[in-house]
Amino acid sequence: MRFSKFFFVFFVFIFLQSCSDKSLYQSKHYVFGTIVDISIYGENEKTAEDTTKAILDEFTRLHNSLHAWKKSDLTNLNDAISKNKPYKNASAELIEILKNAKSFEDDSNHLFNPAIGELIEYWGFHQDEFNAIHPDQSKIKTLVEKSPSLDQLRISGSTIKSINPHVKIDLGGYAKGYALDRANKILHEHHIKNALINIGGNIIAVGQHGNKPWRVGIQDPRGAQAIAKLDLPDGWAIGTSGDYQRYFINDGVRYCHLINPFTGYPAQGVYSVTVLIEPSQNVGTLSDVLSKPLFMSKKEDRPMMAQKLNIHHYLIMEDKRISMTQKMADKIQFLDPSIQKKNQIEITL
Amino acid sequence: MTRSIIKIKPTLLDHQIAQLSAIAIGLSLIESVLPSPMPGVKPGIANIITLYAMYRFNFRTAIWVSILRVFATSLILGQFLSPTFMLSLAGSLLSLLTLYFSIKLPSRFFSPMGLSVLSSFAHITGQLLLVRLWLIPHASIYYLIPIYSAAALIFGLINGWITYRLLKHHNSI
Amino acid sequence: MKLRSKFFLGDSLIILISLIFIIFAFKTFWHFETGSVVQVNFQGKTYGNFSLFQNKEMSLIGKEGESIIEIKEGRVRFARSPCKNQYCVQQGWIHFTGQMLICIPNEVSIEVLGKTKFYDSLNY
Repeated sequence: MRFSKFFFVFFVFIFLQSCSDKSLYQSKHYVFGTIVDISIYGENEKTAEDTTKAILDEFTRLHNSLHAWKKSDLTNLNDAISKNKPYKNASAELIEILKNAKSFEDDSNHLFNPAIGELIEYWGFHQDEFNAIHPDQSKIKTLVEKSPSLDQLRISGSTIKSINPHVKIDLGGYAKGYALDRANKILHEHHIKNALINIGGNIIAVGQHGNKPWRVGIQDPRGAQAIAKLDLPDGWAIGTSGDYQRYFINDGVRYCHLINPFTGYPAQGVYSVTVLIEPSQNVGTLSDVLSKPLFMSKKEDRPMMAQKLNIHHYLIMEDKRISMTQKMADKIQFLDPSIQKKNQIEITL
Repeated sequence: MTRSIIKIKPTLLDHQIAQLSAIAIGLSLIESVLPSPMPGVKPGIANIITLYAMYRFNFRTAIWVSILRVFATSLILGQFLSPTFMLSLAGSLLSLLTLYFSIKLPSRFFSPMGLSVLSSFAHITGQLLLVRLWLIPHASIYYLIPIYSAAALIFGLINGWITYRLLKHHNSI
Repeated sequence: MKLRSKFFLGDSLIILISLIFIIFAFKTFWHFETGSVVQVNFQGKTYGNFSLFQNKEMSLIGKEGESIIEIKEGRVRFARSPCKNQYCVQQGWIHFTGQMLICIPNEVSIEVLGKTKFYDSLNY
């Protein structure tokens, strides 16, 4: 009789023990036109929930403010510009963003150029789904010759004008990174010490995953799964530009959404460029923006461009070739050991 | 030159050990041809002999029977020094060690059935440890623990009960 | 040695503790979550991790000969193995997290891992 009581207690004890690790709060959402994945470690559920909500609200706000083709502050601005009218009462945030974007454009020798919205629209990437188009060479030439650039913006107070009505701003290569920085700020406001935020593939890490660093996988540009992984230390961010998410294929040629402002055509040949950015004030923005100029650069210009932009860790995947900096090679681990047989691995300085 | 003849006189105990070992080996061999649902899940019927030897005679006898059985079976099956042999030996050694301590438990409360269960758990523990520490260090053996444990309990009980019946029939019960 | 009656308190104690342990073991170690990655271990080291969501065949030449591992439609198995017992091949396809197949003679083992173990988030 005593035994049954004892064993009952023992049973209950055993069942309670089988509860799993509750320290990780993870949630996925569709916000900002893309999948957002937020992981918060080591906080109680309420705090994690509140913080997540705050971040998602912020993302929704940014989505509504900065959307490239759906009605937003940005489309209003573009509208005004196209009509040669001044845009009044621009938010301080928008002005700050445009100023930063402009300096990135200059630093990247205009390879990163958010003002080429008309070209992007022409190629059909201002839609949620895109159809193959037959590029009209003369039309593209015309658009290129308009030479839109953020340098052509004139900002005074809260009024924005442009001297070139063909400037159409698309912050596609900037907004996700910027959103990461905003999320980072919110995490700090909520005193969250360990979190991992992924917006459409762009990731920022805060703290660690318990007693080991946050670990991120890197997508195989031609496969359904991760091709490599690396640890993302506290405050670092990672971003990738690739030709495998937004693209169409026509006559066997792949046209992706990353348009080279000088040629007017999508950059070709490169599958993906991944950059790893050390902690800084705008680490998120950098992780989004800086992969673009490298994507657009000619192979021989890449080291120079990387140096100019202060990128120490980058990884470039092309057809049967993978190149990266030594620093990147030290951090990255490829998941398939036979990768060396299938690709030429190049370590650049 | 006078020839020296060394005469080895087998004692009665030697005969008994030999007989028991022979039976144990026979059981082992029969078991080796039986199909098993999963590698490593076996009825372990030769352990009946080990247990029986321990109760009927003494612990030393049980050691002899057990070790002889492991070695002889593996030699016969051509598995000497193979991983299978290693696993068998590891399991048997830990099993014997457990028996050494558990025989000290008061027999008023613990019958061969209990001891058999303990020894079969010790057996699978020895095997899993060998796999994890040496044979395949990366192996996540956790997946095997539930099913091996269930087999250990069931077969331990069956073997223990058979041993008990044998002891009762033959002997001092 | 004299035994008095069939079932003893001590025996029951052992049996009950065993039962509890077994239930605990099943709850803890047996997951029925479909895995997404298979980790292949060869000769004591991790050979690689492969997604289950692809069709792939790989061949490993070990001590005994060639082991062929096949991944198809979210499952993985030993398609062929040079070992005598063929236990690993007989087990067939596995796909739950934690399931594993081992070929001891050829030093090959494959284990299905769950999504979360691999990396915390995917950069793309």
